[in-house]
Amino acid sequence: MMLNGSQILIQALIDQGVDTIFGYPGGSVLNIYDALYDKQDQIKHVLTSHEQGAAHAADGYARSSGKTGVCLATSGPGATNLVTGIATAYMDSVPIVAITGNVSSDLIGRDSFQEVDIAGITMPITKHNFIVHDVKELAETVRLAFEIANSNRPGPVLIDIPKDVSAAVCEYEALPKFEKRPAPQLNASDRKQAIAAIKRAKRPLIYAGGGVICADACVELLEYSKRTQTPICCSAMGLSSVPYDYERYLGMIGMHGTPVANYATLNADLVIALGARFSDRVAGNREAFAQRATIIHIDIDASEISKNVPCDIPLIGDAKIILKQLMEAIKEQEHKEWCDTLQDFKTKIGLPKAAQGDRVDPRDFIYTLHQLLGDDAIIVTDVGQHQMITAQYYQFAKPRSFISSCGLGTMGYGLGAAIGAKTAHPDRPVVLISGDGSFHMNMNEMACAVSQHLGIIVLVFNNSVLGMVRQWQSLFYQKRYSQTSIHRRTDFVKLAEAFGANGYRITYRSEIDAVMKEAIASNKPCIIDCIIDPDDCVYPIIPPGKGADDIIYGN
Amino acid sequence: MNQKKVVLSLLVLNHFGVLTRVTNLFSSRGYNIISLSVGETENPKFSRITIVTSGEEAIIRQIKLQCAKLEDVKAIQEVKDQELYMREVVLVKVKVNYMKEEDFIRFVDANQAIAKQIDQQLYMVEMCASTQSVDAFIDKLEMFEIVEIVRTGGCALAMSVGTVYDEQ
Repeated sequence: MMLNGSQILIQALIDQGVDTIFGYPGGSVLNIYDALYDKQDQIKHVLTSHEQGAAHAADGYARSSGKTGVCLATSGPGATNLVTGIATAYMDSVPIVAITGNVSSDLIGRDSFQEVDIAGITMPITKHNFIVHDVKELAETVRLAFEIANSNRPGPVLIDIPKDVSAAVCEYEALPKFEKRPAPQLNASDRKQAIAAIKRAKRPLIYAGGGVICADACVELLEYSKRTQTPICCSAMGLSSVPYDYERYLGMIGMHGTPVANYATLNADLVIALGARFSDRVAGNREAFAQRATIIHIDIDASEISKNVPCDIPLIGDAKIILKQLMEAIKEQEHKEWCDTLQDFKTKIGLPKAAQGDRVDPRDFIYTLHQLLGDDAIIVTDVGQHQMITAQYYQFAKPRSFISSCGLGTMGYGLGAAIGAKTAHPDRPVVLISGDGSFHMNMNEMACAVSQHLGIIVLVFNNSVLGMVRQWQSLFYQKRYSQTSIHRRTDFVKLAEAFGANGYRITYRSEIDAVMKEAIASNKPCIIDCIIDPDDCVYPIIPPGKGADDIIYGN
Repeated sequence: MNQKKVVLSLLVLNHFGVLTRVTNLFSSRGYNIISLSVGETENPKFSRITIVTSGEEAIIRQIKLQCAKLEDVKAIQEVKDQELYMREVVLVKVKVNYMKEEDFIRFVDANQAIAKQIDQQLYMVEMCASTQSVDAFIDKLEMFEIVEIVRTGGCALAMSVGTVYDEQ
């Protein structure tokens, strides 16, 4: 069958199992959009307001569904607008395939209109990228891009297609759907050592990261923990891998983690890091982290071993398979004393309690949100205080229900990501918890949510300040509030209405229930402007570069 | 901490952009490049990059693992000191006074270098040797007048039965 490059691209995407793409048209992708026109019944195209929104949407789609997110943009500014979204996906190991058009081959290198070297720009923030020079290589490149994006540790891949390549004609043969490359095989002596260390341990702790969710190992994690009575804490990326009501779940670890999770790292004699990378937000002081513990690091990416914190026993491979292998060797263990100690600590020192009074404290609002939304809800966040309070207090019941830019910390990530999550799961409640700072960055995507009929609830915790930066100015810069009191005059209720969405305002605690119930029932996109205290700080906090001993509990 | 100097030999796909990917990785992660050379191999599909780098043991390990993650890098071999066979080329333009011409020719011969006359009193000197010998040669050349120098990075193979293909 003779097809042009654009038809080949669209057909190759369909052959790789794609049914949804997020994008924005432009000069260099006119051919591709023309081919898309014929395949609208097979590929749904979600038109965002801005290419950044498309990249975040592809990311949110991938994180919430486990499938590959695909975004499409034109050359030049279209391509550079994807960059923050690609970097976000790279830092959090999210499989996305970004497709950019470029100017025709004969115009490349001449500083042509809307020309940019996007392959060069995205080299450090992609697992790999391609410039397709010959239409004959296009179908295989698409298949390879999906293979790379999904194999072992997932991540973004970019394909740049010059306009003449998207027009050139060649014979098309359908390629089979990509297969993931085999995971590294576990080294037998490492496994033996790990099993011995686990059998020796009196105070074991699991530190679970995003890799558990990638590897689809949440069931095995829970089973392992139950069988061996090993408490679990999660990095931000690991949240939602363990159900909130599991008795040995300690909550989030690290800078804004729970007191008990951080206390456990100080006292554990064995830490099993599972698909986690000991980032500076977890191990602020790399030398002091889990000093008394033997560290077993289970990861599919060998370069994570001892990258930040020296590891005693590396187990390189797929987390799901490794957990199963460990469970074959270790049937049951009892760590009653250790579990009791942690339980006791947890009841004595928990997360800060919500403030009393009729004003809203986001803590109990978020804590009780789960009861209103149910287990099925997908919670998306932006970046800042609201993100950390959500991570601390929300009761996550199912894997892939917490969607947040944890590595890159991209303010403005949330609305695009929520669009992606809702597109993947139209029947599940999707709530974006944001702050007025973050939401201002990419609120243009409300236009997309409305035109796509995506019933996303945007809950803006509005304190008129850039809360997290301001908090650091309070704690570490003598309250010199440089450029963090933003005092916008945006009326979010009117804004919602202007976009064609519903707008609500919550000023008092007593209003929460009625507003939330109405917002959920309407199933229409809406913005809820929720007024909160600008001086509120997220506690506990382990100051940057410090260890769990230096935790500040706050008020 | 103990800094270690290491010679890495990378087998990479022979297409454009590969060298950029490798050097980008070094600069974005703050790794050191002491010297680098690249060229095609016996199989036109592949190139070999020889990188001399330095760092603590843990950093060297990271460098190897991070390079291995690059899609275009097919194998990485650390060439051990005792098996290292490394050569680099230096070209030097030298001005030689009439009075010293005989000394110069003798000096070049003694060092197994080659000299070609460009102009009166002006010579092109070339030498292919280990990095240390090249360093020493340049030092001694200072007794004449050096006009300009260019030298390649080292290229290396292991003096062993094993090859980079064993690391694939």
